[in-house]
Formats: sequence, C-alpha cells, structure tokens
Amino acid sequence: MAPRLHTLHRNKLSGGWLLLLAMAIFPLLASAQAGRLLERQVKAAYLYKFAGFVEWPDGCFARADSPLVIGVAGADPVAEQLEIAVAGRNVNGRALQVRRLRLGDSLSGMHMLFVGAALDRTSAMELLAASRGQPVLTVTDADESAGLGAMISFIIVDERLRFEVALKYAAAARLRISARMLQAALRVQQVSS
Amino acid sequence: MNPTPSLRRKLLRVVMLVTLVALLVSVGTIIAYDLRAYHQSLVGDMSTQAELLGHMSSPALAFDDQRLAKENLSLLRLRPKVNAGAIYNARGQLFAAYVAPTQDVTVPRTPGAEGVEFSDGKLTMFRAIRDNGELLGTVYLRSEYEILARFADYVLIALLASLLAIGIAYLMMRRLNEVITKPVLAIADVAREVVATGDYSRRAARLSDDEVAELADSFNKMLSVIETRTHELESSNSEIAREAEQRSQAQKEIMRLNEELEQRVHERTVQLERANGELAMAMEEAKSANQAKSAFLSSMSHELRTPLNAILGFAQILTSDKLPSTLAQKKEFANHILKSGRHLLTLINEILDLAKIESGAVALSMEPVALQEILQECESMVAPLAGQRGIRLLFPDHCVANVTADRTRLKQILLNLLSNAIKYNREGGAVVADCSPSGPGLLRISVQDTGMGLHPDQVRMLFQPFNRLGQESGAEEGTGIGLVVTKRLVELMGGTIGVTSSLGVGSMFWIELKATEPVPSRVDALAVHPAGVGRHRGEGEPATVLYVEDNPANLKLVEEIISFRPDLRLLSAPDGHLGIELARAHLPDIILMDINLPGVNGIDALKLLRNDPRTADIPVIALTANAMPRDVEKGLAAGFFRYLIKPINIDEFTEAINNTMAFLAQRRDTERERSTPT
Repeated sequence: MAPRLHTLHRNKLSGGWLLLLAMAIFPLLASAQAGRLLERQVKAAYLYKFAGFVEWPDGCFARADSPLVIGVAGADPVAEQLEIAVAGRNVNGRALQVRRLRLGDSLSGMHMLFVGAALDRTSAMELLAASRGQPVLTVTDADESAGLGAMISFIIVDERLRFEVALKYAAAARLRISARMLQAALRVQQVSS
Repeated sequence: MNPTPSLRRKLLRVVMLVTLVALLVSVGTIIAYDLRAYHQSLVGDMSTQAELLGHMSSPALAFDDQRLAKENLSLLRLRPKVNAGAIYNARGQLFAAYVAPTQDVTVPRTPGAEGVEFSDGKLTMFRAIRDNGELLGTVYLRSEYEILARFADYVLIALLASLLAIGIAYLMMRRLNEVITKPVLAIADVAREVVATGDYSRRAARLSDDEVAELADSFNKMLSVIETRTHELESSNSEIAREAEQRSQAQKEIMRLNEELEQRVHERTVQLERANGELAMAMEEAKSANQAKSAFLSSMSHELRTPLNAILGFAQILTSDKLPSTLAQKKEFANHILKSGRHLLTLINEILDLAKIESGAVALSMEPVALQEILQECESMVAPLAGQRGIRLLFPDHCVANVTADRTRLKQILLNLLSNAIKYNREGGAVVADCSPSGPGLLRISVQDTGMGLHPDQVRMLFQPFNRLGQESGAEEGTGIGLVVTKRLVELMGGTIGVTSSLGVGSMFWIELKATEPVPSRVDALAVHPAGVGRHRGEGEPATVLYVEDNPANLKLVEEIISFRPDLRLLSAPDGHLGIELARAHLPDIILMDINLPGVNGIDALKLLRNDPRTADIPVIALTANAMPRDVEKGLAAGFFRYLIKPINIDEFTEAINNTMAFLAQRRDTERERSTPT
C-alpha cells in the first residue's frame, strides 16, 4: 500500500488531471450507460469536495490535524474511487480517511457518511437514524434517498450529477454548509421548510 | 511701467515663482501619487475582483456548474469599467464568458499566462483559481485602463488650479506685500527725504515688529546719531565761524585802533608841528618883541632926551652969566623950557600909561556909556586945536546908541584918534566922526581925516611904539605911543581897532565896541517921582548922602534924583580912596557905593569903612552894574545894607533910601530911649 500511495502521492497532479478528465468525459460515459465507473468517480470527487465546504462543530476532531473520516456504506465502488481520490489530499489541513461501513458498525469518529444505493432502504434508514443528532454530514445516493432524511442527496439532471441540500438536518447536526456550495446545489431545503 | 523693479515687484515675483514651483512640485507629486495609486488600486481592484470571482466561481467549477459561473460573471455588469470577463476550467477550456453590453470584444479561447497586461488603454488579467492548493481554473478580466486620460485630466486640473492659486496668491500678495514692503518703503522714503532735504530730525515709523522694525530702530538711531553729529558739527562750525568773526572783528578793531593811533600820531605830529611852528613863531615874536623892546628903549631914551635936551640947554643959557640975554629972550627960553617940560610930562604920562596897560594894572569900569554925550565932550575938547589949524570938525548930530565901555578910557581913545586926525591932516582939511551899528550887538565909531593917507606897509607898522611913520622929523609933536595905548585900551574893553587908508585921500580909523541899552533918562525920573518926594522927612537938618561913583552920568542921575528931596544933601567922590576920606571927614548918614571903582573897589572900601569905628555904623548901599545873583549874594554877605542894580530903578532907589532913613530913625529912637532913663 505504502509504495503505491507513495507513487500516487507523487503523481498527485497526474491523478488530478485524471480525475478531471474523468469528470469531463462523465456525461459521455453516462449516456453510454457504460460509464458507471465515471459516475462513481464523480461521486467520489463530489464527496471529497463537500468536505471543503462544510464546517464541523468544535470537538469533532481530537486534534487540529486529526483526519477527516468519511464513512461509505453500501457503495464499495464509490469507496474505492474515493480512496483513490483522497489519497494524498487534505481538506483544511486534514487528511482524509475512507472507511467502508458494514451493518452494525459504529458511527463514532465519522465526519461524513455516504449511504450508497446498494444498501437497502431499511438499512439505510437505520444508518441515517443512527447518525441523526451527531455531527456527521450525511450524503445519500440516487433518487430513493429523498425520504431518508439525508443532508445531501445526489441527483442526476440532464446527465449531470447535481445535488440537493436539506439544511434542517444539517442544522440539527450543528453542521454549517458553505453558502458557496449551496449556490451550486440544485435545490436547498431551508431550515424552516 | 516702472523701469526699475521695485522691492514690491521683486517680492511679488519671488512669491509667484515660489508659489508656482511649490504648486508644480505638489501637483506633480499628487498627480504621480494619484496615478500610481490609481494604477495600484486598479490592479489591486482587478486582482481582488478576479480573486473574488474565482472564489465565487470555485464551487461552480468544482461542481461543474456553468450556469453558476455565468451568473457570477454577469455580476461584472455592476462594474462598467470592466469590459469583459471569462472563466476557464482546469483543463484550459472556456467555462463561462461575459462581455459588457456596449463592448465589442472577444474573449480569448484559452487562458493566457497568469498576470496583468496593459495595452491600448486596457488592462487584461489572467488569474488562476486555486482552492485548497488545487487549480480549479482561470479567471480572465478585461478592464478600462484610463491612466492617460486621467493624467490629461489631472494636468488640466493642475493647470487650472495653478492658475487659480497663482491668481489668488497674486491678489493676496498685493495686499500682503504691504505688510512687508510698507515698513521698508517707509524707511526708504524717510531715507530719501533725509538725503533730499538734509533734515536729520525725520524718523522712520515703526510699522511692524520684525527685523524691519529693528532696521527702522537702527536707522532712527543712526539718524539721531547723525543728527547729533550734525548738530555738533554745525555748532562747532558756527563756533568756528563765530570765533572767526570775533577774530576778524578783533582784527578790524585792531586795525581801527591802529588807524586811530596813526590818526592820533598824525594829529599829534601835526599838533607838534603846529606847536613847533607856534613855538618858532612865538620865538620869532619874542625875538621881535625883544627887538621891539630894545628899539622901544632906545627910542624912549631918545625921545626923553630930546625935550630934556631943550630944557637943559635953555636952562643953561638962562643960568649962564657968559651968555647974557634980554628979558624977551629969557621969556622965550623959559617958554621953550615950559613947552619941552610939558612935552616930557606928556611923554612920561603916556609911557606910564602904556606900562600900566602892559602890566595889566589898568582897572576898567565897564558900564553903559552914551555915545552922543561923550562925542560932544570930545568935540568941545578938540575944537580949539582944530580951529588953530583951520580944520573943520564934523560930528554926528544924534548918536543915540550906548556902548559898554570904561567912560574915561573911551574918551581917551577918541581924543587920541581925533587929535591925530587933526594933527596929520592937510591944510583946511576936515575930520569926520561917525557912529553906526556894524553887526549884531556891535557899534562902530569911526574917525576919518583928509590927510596924506598911508601905504599898506605903513599900516602894518602903525600900532608899534615910537613909530611915527616918518613924522619924526615933522613939525608935529608926538610920542609915537598914543596909538599903541589906544589899541591896547580898545582890546581891553573887548573891542577891535582898525584902519583903512588910501594914499592921497586920507585914512579912517575905527573902533568897534559892544552896544548896550541906554541908561534911563533923567526925563523919566522927573516924570515918575515928584509924588514920592520928601515923604519921610523928619525935623532938623537934611540927611547927608555920600555917593562914591566914577561915572559922571550915574552921578548926574543920582544928583538929579536927590535934588528933588529937600531932606537929603548929596556928597560925591569919584573913587574909593576919596570916598573913604570924605566919609571920615563928613560922617554921612548914608553911603551909596559903586563896586567897580578905580583904585579901591567898593567891597574893599566897605571893609575899610567897617574897620573904622567912626564910620562902622553908617549903612552902605551898593549901587552897581554887577547884576549876577552870585554878585548880589557876595555883596550882601560882605555887609552892604542894600544891593541895588544899575541901571537905576528910581522906585527901588527911593524905597531903599526911605527904608534906610526909617532904619536910622528907629535906631535913633532906641538910642534916645536908652539914654533917656540915664
């Protein structure tokens, strides 16, 4: 792992370029229905980028340079891509860690939770319910996530990956989501609504 | 206007120049600063804008949201200076673009190198968008870069501001100039006036509190010092001038004194010369007098010897027995002797007279003399002589004038002149006497003959003793002294004697004497005084009055007055000695005494009378022509009972006589009373 990481680290720029290339060609792939990989890659990139626009409450990190932990459940391919994407990167001086979650796993130490479409609805609800009240940014995939009560939900619009934000959950979790990110959001559910 | 730039103009120029330089420097600095600030702020602004845009657009890039990027870019419309803007993604593709509505520009297809470029008044900027150290894309901005226009504007503004500032400065300086230049110009004016007028009392006014005021003070001090010096100089000059003047005056004085001295020396010299001349003349005169005296003596001895010769000669014949002579002869010889003796007597008398006159021993009694009277007397005296010689005498009928003279001596003078005129006349000739006024207060008596006349030489020799002018050998007897005595007497009486003569026609001798008022006439006395006669005559004999008087006229007058008084008897004496004798002999009751008497004068005579116990009590009344108050005082002090002044006032005279008579009667009464009880 280490040498690879090392290599990856060294080829950070080329990795970036790769990612960007992937994003650029994502619609093409998506339209071809063969670009599952690209979709996963874009989702991974988005997850990673979300971290830059979110502020966690004090006490969520043990130290100033404690890593930001992203839990991925029900979406191993995405986790895989995410692990590639975050390798050697950091957000606000913090390294990123990706943890694949199984049913029953504790959510403690998590900062983000991506619940993939592979997980069944019940499990996903359970998982999200478990995260409720904790400072964990919850992201759900695909269309079904609407009623699940996640803070951010991916939506495919015009073959582009967009996302929605439900601020009431974020506020309940004492998370602050940057307004800039909200600008890019397809839809924002305000706290009062 | 003003050919010489004045201080004011210079100051104005300096201020203008300084203002201009200051303005240029400050405006230039401000412009430079402002342009720089403009540049920097524009660049900074654009950078910020780009940064902001990038920052705003980073989510758009991150989440591939072109719409969002476009919206962000469209915000640039709020910045009208920004012409165009664009966002490129990380792959260098144009992600979103914006072009200002009125602009016609195209956005570059690909991003350029990061940085700022200026061209054609435009600013173009490419700026990379990084987030979290990751290149997200590039922002492109194109904006107006108006530095040149701004510069031009600034230059215009600076120009206007400078003009305005200079204008204001000029206007202010025109006012403020006064503050600086006025005190200086005031001093300059004063200085010019002082130079022009030389009046150092002028003072510069102190119009401010700065160095100019110090200058004014110093200038004033200097002026006062100059003034003081000038005064000192002037006063010393005037002192010098005064000294010089004094010196010149002193010099003039010295010169004047010198001149005076010279003048006096000259005068003295002249006086000395004159005195010398006089001395020489006096010596000459003395010499000639001496000679004359010698000649006189020899003449006199000769003249005296001549009659003596005859006397002695005839007397010898008479006494000689050897020379018998008849009775007739004897009688003739005796006649010769008698004649010569008489001649000798006359000669001796005349010589004595002359000697008396020469020795000053002659006392003259000057008094008014009536000429008519004295001429008549003289006529009667010379008439026989003239008759003998057949010479007619012509005398004036009425010569009413009076002269001041000694009566006796005047008669002597006239007789001498008349006898000469008769003696040295021609046969059957005439002698004319006359009297006439010859000047103010002068009377001329002339005696003219019809003789041979005299040479001028003879006239010169005329009044010298024993000079008979060639008549020595002539038939006429003469002493040659008569005219000399006459001249002396006339001079003694204050008169002059002279002669005019022409040869063959005759000579005229004249004398001039002072005229005077006539004595009051006897007629007046008669007319006035009959009433007062004999008023106080008592019983017994008439009182005796002695009158001592040498002037017959006065005597005659008094005689006439007394003759009207039966109570008075008059005795008279012609001189003092005789008067005293008569007084002793007759013991008169009253004595009337003239003061100027021949021999003993009146005052001396009074003293003699007082010293004699017989005559001591007789009251003596002075009757004199000495009328001066001093004389009156002196007379009364000498003891005269009364002092009467000639011409005689008859009232006064009568009163004095009566008073004296009353005094005598009273004295007699008291003596009688004194003797009665005894």
